[in-house]
Amino acid sequence: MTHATKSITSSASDLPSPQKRSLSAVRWRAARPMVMAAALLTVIYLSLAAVVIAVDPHNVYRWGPQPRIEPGNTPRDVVIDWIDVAAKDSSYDTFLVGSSVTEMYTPEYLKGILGPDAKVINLSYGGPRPRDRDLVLDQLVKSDTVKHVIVSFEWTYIRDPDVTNISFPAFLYDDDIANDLRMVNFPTIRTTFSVLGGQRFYSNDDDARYKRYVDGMYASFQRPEEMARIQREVERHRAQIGASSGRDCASFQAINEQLVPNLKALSDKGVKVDVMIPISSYAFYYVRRNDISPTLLDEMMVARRCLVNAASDIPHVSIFAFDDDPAIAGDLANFREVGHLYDPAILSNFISAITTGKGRLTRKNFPRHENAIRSAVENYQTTNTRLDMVAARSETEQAASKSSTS
Amino acid sequence: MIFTDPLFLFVLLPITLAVFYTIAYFRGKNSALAILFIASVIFYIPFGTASAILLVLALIVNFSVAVAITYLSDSNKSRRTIYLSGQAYNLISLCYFKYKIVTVLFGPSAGFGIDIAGLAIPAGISFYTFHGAAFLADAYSREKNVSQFLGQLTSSRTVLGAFSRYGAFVSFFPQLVIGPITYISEFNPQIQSKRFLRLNPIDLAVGLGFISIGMFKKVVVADNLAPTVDIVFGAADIGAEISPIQAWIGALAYMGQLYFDFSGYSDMALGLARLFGLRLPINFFSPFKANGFIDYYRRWHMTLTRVIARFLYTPLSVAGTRYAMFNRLAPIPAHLVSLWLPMLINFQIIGLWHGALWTFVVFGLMHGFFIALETEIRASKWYKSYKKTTSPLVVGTIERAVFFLPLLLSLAMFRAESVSGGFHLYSQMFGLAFDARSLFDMKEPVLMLMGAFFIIYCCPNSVELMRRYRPAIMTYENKSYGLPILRGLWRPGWVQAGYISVLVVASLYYVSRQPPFLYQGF
Repeated sequence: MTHATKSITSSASDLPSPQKRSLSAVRWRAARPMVMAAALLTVIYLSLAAVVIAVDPHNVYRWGPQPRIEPGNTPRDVVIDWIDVAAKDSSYDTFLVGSSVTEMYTPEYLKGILGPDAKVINLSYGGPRPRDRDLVLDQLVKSDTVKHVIVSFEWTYIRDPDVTNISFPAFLYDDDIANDLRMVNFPTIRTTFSVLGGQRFYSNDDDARYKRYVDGMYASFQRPEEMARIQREVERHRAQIGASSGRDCASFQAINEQLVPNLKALSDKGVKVDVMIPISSYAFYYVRRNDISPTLLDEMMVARRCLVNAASDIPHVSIFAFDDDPAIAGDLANFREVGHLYDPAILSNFISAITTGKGRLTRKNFPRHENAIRSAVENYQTTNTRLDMVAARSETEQAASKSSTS
Repeated sequence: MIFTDPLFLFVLLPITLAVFYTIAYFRGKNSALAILFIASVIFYIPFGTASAILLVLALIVNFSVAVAITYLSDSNKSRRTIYLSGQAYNLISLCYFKYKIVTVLFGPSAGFGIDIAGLAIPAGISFYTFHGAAFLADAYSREKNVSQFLGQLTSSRTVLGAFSRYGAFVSFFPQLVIGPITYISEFNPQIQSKRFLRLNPIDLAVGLGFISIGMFKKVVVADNLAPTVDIVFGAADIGAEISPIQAWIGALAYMGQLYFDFSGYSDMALGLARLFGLRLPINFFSPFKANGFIDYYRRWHMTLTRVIARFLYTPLSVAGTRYAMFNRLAPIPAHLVSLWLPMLINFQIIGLWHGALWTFVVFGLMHGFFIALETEIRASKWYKSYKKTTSPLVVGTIERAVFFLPLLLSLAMFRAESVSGGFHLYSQMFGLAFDARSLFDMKEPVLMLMGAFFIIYCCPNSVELMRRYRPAIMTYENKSYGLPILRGLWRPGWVQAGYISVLVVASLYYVSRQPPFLYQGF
């Protein structure tokens, strides 16, 4: 084995002084552009960092012009940078903390359900994970104006508590100031200069694009081939779908160490908290077992049970779920994807349950709820009333056309 | 802190550079090295206060032992005992903190011992421990650089100076967390040189070039391949059905991620050290261009290979050969004890060095087996005559093609979250589940992969690019493969300044996303 150390030969040190100086000058001349570029980049970055931190466009510090989110705006995925902007804004007292399932609710729509006095903002973003959800709830716990929080309880709570959404800027909301320089990215710099230019309200004007996206998703899901594919998966995994995961409540650390303490903290402040379990289709458990967990159904049921046991008795806290109704969760016509509800009427019922109390889970009624879902999932046959109607209409038309031809 | 963190790049590094050269000018070498030591400890503190205390403790113990065995005479019987105690400290701390040996032996309820072992694995513990162990071995074997490095210890001031030098050597931040593992014979001549501490603009230019290239490799290439890798290996771990195309994309993406992550780190380490006028040994030299596993280990994590070979393979092989000779073993058993067994043990240790996981055990077994097989094939008459009669270009191409699949499969096992997950991925790669539900949109990962593998196989590495400026200490003499036209020489200038600006700005686009380097976990 050779590990030859190349000694450093120094021809420069043997040269007479003027030559040494000229060699040094040549070197400096050669290296100057690189050094200047590096120095320039450093100076520009640090200057921008100073401006960004001074302006504080995300409202994470105590100073700055304290920008706000445009009343009536639904920020959707960009809201991850604006959690403190919303939480510190006294014009909001009701916060929907959800996921892609609840992203479509506009403040106006929510007001229509919760009442005209609700000062509501939707903080839903796609793919929340336990750690980032915890950070969002932490910001709300710190808020002085919060009166009502609606929080969705997704499957991700079966994951470990340190799992984080890859796009979520956790560095903005954690206690470590040493990582705050990471906020100096291109979008933040742009926002900072907008704030300096006088902008005080943020908005994400993507309603039309979002609608196109959701409608496109629905159209591509509502196809007979997609249903046939789901049915194949259902039949293939039916025997294992109800298998036990072996998990108990102690293993759901994200619920025990993050969600429940946050619910208690909000409750202690007198905040009304509604935990909404989003409606997933029964096909969801068959399709997503492939990439979430082979025992997804059991884990989700145990997780719900643990949540109900731990939180349903906390004052001001209510837990709601509706997916024990096969007419909703069993019919894929209601969905744009196995885990995403589409039907506006059902979506409306889902939120209005907060006011009516329908679908509330308690320790007492939970076993019936769990059994109903387990049984419905285990015996599930792919159903899509919309496609069935289309097929029936098409058959009728064909028959009619045949009879008219003959 | 990690190298790509803006706090490091734009705050700690410029301050350390400025203070280092200012102190070097006014106060000399010892003070300048003390600055490097202090900066290294500051760099390390974000990994945890307990980890930093453990680092300083390891430095104190190893320094004390090294001083003792350097200044005790060979005839003093306690010299060997002190040396062995020092190495025992290194081994025990590694087993205790990295391998959680107490937990493994006594289970998770062994009381106080468990509580300490329950700490997160201290970052870089295997690197600084190997550093310290190699230094002790050099001190024990009376390597001439050791006594020169430590100097005459006549007063507390000289002891403090020697400790600062030692601290700077072992904990020097460019190599602290992921290596390379440097020998004192490589470090000491540099700090004894008259040129050390002189601000050489070429060092700055070369260093900045390396840093920008390395940052781009890590932040733009490796980190953009990571999501695909996470999805595919996560799905494999739960036994999901994966379409063969996506399973291959996942395995290839990990190959690319690991390559660019480690290559990026290695480039940044060379560049950062060079800013301070120091050269580190090369740790990474286009390993996927290797023509087999033997060549691969002369190109991948080269400083670990040489440390393991020095302390493990060579003694085992020598002992095996002696045993075979004294016992007059038949050729095959002799071969077994002198070559195969040492190789298998060597690669098992290399596998386990990454952590106490069964996937690493299987990875070590695979590589040990492949190396032994390759050694036998290369020593066979058939191979020698084939090589003589065939064009080197054809031989090289065939060797690389043959080498690719075992490498890909072994790296997939290395990344897998469990052995069963690794084997499940293999079954999906060679399976027929073409109608499996798509796990990700393939357009972007495929484009990324094409770009990544183009760079891997068609572009020169950074050391080749900058070879005019002797960018690093050669660890092994490696051949450069590929067309010479692609190995155009790099010279500092306005064009290169433009390149580094583009690379840095592209990397800063992802500044909010700071995942650690993969080797940080080892």
